[in-house]
Amino acid sequence: MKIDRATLLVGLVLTALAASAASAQTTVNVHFNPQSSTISAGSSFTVQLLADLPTPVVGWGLDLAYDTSLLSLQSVEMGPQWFAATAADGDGLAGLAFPAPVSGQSTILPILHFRANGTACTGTSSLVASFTPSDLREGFPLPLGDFADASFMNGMVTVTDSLAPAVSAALTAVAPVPSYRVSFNATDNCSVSALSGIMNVASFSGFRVDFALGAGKTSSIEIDPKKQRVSLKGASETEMRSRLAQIAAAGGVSVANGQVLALTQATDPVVKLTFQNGQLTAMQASQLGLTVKASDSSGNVAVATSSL
Amino acid sequence: MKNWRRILQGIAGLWLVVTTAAVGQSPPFTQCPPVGVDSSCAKLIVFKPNGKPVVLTDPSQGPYDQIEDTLIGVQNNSNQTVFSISLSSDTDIFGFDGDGLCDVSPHPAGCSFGPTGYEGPGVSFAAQSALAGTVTFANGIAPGDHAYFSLEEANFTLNLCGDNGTKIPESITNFGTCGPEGVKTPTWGSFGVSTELVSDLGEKLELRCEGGINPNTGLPFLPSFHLYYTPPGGTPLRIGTCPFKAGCNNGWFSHAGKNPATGKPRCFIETYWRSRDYGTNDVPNPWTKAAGVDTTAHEPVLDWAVTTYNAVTNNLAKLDYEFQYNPASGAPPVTTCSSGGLRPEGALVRTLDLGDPPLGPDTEAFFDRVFANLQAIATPNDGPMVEAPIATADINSDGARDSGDFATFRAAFGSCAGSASFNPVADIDGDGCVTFLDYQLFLQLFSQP
Repeated sequence: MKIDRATLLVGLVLTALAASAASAQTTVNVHFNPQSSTISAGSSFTVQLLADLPTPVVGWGLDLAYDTSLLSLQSVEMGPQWFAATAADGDGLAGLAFPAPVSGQSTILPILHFRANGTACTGTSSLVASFTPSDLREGFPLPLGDFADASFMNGMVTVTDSLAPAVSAALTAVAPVPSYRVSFNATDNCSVSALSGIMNVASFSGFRVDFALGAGKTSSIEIDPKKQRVSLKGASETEMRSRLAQIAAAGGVSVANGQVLALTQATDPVVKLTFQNGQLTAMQASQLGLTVKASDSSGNVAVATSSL
Repeated sequence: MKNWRRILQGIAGLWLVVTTAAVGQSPPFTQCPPVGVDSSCAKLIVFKPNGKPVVLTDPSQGPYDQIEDTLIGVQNNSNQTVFSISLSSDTDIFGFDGDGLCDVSPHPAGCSFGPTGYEGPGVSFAAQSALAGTVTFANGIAPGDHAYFSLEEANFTLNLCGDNGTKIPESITNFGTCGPEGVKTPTWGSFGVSTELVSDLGEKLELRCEGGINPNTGLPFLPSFHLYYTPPGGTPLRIGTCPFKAGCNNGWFSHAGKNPATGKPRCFIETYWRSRDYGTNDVPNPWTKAAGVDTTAHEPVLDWAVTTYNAVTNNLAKLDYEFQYNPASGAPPVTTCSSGGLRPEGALVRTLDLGDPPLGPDTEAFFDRVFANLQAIATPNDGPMVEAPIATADINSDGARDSGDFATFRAAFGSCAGSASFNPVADIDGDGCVTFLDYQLFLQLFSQP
């Protein structure tokens, strides 16, 4: 773009006259648009930094403060009346007017592109614009050598989280048959606070419990709906009762991601669970399924299932 | 982004906060000690970070003698030392009549500080009349420091050049070559062609080409440009020179606006003079040798000699910029000032600050040494010093003032000497950083004929 100097001369003279007529201490009002907003964690959003410029200025330079544990500034887009200039302190918040100074209500300085992806995930951050009077690369310079005063109104951003985690669950056949690998995972726009995998077991509330204690490391549980009986085999009655209580409370047996199980599907509704050192290693049942449950720090819960 | 945590902590619980960044000074003005019935300054002159002065008043502090005498402070928030200030009023503020700050009770410890009794520590007065005069601060008021004194009268308007917030730069052009010797007749921006430019305050700017006869050789000296400033009622003092053989020169001055009644500048704020050592490299550098700076290790370089004079604070800053010379491989060397749009300056090597004593005997002695150093290396065949064909606002030196200059300026904005993006051509005020002060000057010089 080539600027004709005669055009610039006229513009500068007019703005200089306007600036002379006005008080050099005319105050620039700086504010955000929207002044207050609520956005979802992990999402991107924009905020305009606006200024009411009662007299022409030849540029602006500002500092910007916000809670970096909640927000990150992705990029700065210059308002249409300014050319971006380097800000020595790294904010990228400086603009130059060329060829003519700029004035007007609600003039867009920059458009700030934020993302709510901080470590704190949810909360409230002020947006604070300011300038350092001793830094001559900041402020609102007037055409004839002085700087305008400025008042600042802070903005506010509240970050909420209503998104549940994304959960996956899979039972994948691996050699030797009938081995299956348990796989599950969860991702979240904030962070996953709890993740568990359960091999489903039909309810056995009210069943009779029999014990057949032995000395081996292998223990087992057999749940027989037809006879309404649970048979426990293990080294310790206390341990087996505890394990049974956990199964009853969780609706199944806890498994770990990556764990390999021997899963055998049968027409018989009886469920047979085999444990090595307390960990489920084999399971036989008419319906074999994996249920994965994930929750985030905001209490959002998601469930995924996989079955044979 | 600076100190955001502290800011956020400071506004904890609030989400709408209004702040105002003003001059940063509010009553009481504690720069003054208790004097008479006053507990602090009644008026405070503040030099803001951008160098502009502003006069503030504390209405709660009347005359310290309860009649007509006023206690005045000076706060220097700029980055330059304030050596003196010239004050005027429509009342006889310099009509001292024996009731200065040292003549009442209580008064500061150490009184008196001068012959009138109105002086504060390190302060002296030189009155041009009862209505106007100069207040001088011994050793100057350093950045961040302050001083105080008293003046006659009460409830007066105190005028200090530039306190109206207006600074208009104008180029000094059409001064041609140095020779023949004598007072030049340049164009002083919008004030036109004249041998001198006089302000409403009685200050005067002149550009002379001065030489003479070398008493040692009997040969004529190589004449040199000298820019002179004459304070109100004072004698001419040099505020710029060309210390290089065939040097290439630019100059501008700024003022606080044109008085439509007189057609003169109301007062001068600052001047800038830049000489480039084009042509053969002058070794030893007459400019830096005068300041006792050894630049041998950095020769050959291309030097700029830059002087900036602040007429409001009487501060004359002298800088030397060293550039790599003729950097373009295979390109013909740029040997004269008028060699088209080619610039021989390569990357900036460094900037030397040659000191900033107040304008007066010390600076005159400095210019004498520069002139003597120049003559020591001059020969009868040396070409004359000339006016640069490139305007100050022609930042990219292509012979035109257009958006290309803005692009070059923008690339340097925010940088300071020492950083890769620093461009001394964009540092129009010569303070070592490319700031909004430079941009204000650039836009105005850019738009002038």
